[in-house]
Amino acid sequence: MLVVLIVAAILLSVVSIAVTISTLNTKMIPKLNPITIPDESTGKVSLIINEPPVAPAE
Amino acid sequence: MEQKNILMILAVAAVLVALVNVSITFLKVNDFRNALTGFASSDTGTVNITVLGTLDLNFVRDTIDWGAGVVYTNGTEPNATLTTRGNGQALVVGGNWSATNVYGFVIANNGSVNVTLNLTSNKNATDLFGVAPSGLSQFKWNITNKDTGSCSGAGGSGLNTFYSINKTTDIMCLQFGSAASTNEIFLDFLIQVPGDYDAAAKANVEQEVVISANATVAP
Repeated sequence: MLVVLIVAAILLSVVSIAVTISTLNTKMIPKLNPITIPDESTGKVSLIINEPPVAPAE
Repeated sequence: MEQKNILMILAVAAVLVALVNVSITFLKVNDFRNALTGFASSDTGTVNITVLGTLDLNFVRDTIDWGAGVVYTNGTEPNATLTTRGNGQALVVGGNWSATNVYGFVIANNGSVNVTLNLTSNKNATDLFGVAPSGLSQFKWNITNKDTGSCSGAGGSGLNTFYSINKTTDIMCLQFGSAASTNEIFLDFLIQVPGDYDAAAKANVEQEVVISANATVAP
């Protein structure tokens, strides 16, 4: 019985080590890179090309 | 006796594994704590932060409207040239468009950091006039400093020079200043309307071009 308990204690400690290593990982902390969102603005250029007036028939 | 030895060995092993467990937990928690922001990394308690600059690009003057006009048909190769000139009166040659109240765009960098200015047009000369057999159609832009020193290191485009617009994004200023005295530029246009433009598709129809300015943090 005592042997079983001690073995169980050892196994639980090993599991605890594994859990600690896998969960407490600094790689899990998100690294926020500076975010630079481009700024945009627009302008408009417009024109109308009219056909030249047609000379009246003589 | 043998059983006692086995028990002793197992007990020692259990203690050793428990010690390793405690050590690993302590080290991992320490690493985690040091990686989190807000904790001082030295005895003096210094915290470093980086405040990102703001990007704010504006067309202070954002409209160039030439209105309606015709190309004069006298001459062997009729064409009309319409040119904006910053805050100066625009110029019209070979046509009867009005230059009254027609000025170049004014673009300002009202952000807190120098930016790289990119410009894109949704149309080129062919879009405006159709295919003109004479080859006289032109649609060009240029940058000049409204505030001296505002724009420098213009990517592939130098200042004070008209370049053809081809609908790809052009880097117009590698460094567009943000200081109040060096943060404004003129964007002018040269439009050459060919006499043999595609009248069937383009006559009497307003041609509108959208110019998009995009700013990213300058290197």
